[in-house]
Amino acid sequence: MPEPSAEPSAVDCQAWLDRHGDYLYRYALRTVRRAEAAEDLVQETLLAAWRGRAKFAGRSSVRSWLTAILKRKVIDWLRATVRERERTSEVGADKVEDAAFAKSDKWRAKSKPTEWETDGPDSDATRAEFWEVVRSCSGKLPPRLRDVFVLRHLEEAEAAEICQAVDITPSNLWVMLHRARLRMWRCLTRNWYGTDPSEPKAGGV
Amino acid sequence: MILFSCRRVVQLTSKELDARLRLTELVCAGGHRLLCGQCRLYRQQLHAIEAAIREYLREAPGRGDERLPDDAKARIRDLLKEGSA
Repeated sequence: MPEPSAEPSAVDCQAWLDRHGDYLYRYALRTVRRAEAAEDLVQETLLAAWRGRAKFAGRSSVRSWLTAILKRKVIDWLRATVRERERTSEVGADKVEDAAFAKSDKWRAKSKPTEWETDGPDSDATRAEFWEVVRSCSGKLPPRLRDVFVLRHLEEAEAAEICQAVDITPSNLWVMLHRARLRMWRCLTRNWYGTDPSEPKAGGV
Repeated sequence: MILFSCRRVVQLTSKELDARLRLTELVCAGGHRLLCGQCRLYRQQLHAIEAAIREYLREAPGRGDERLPDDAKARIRDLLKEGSA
């Protein structure tokens, strides 16, 4: 009887694609939001996993291991995209921020934070609905803000390190993150926490 | 209200999630929030949203029903075959 091999065979790698390909694709799609890039990232992930199969010690599940490789690739992709885009962009005025505050820089009556009517999700079913709203809200962020926002939250690195990696100033990073958060706050407040009945529930960011 | 405007305090509320605020920023934003219920509430809600987004990115990106297109699967399968040949 042959001894079990520690390294995955070519057949195992095909099985990775069959078992985890769709999951990895969804992960990539939800984070980079471009179908073609998501396909490429899955491809690079599986090839990298195949090349590095000897390093897989089996301490985690195959899916966790593949997801960790993919996450690193997504971060690299976001870094490159942000770096390329921000070389030619400037941080100007922002319509959403301007709309939230009066000329005196106080909250406008329509935009004021009010107590939420509901908390976060409290069961698996509502959690799934909540994730759908989070996904929808992040999908409505302008790509420029979204990429920086996702990068900041995926990276377990200091903001200063991200600035260095994507070659932008801390001030620009803070402004973009602030604008993304303000939009997410507004969208989630309207579409999940539901504190503003005068606003349509299906409102955009 | 107390040196900093709501707009400035809201900007600092985000900045403090990414960096250490300067002492003057910390004091003036904190002083503003003592008197401004809206900015206090915004900070509380933003922290809740921040935690939810981190959880979302940890738990949820692979959920859903989108599928890797068949042509991409075929291409990756061929590349894996080549790689293992």
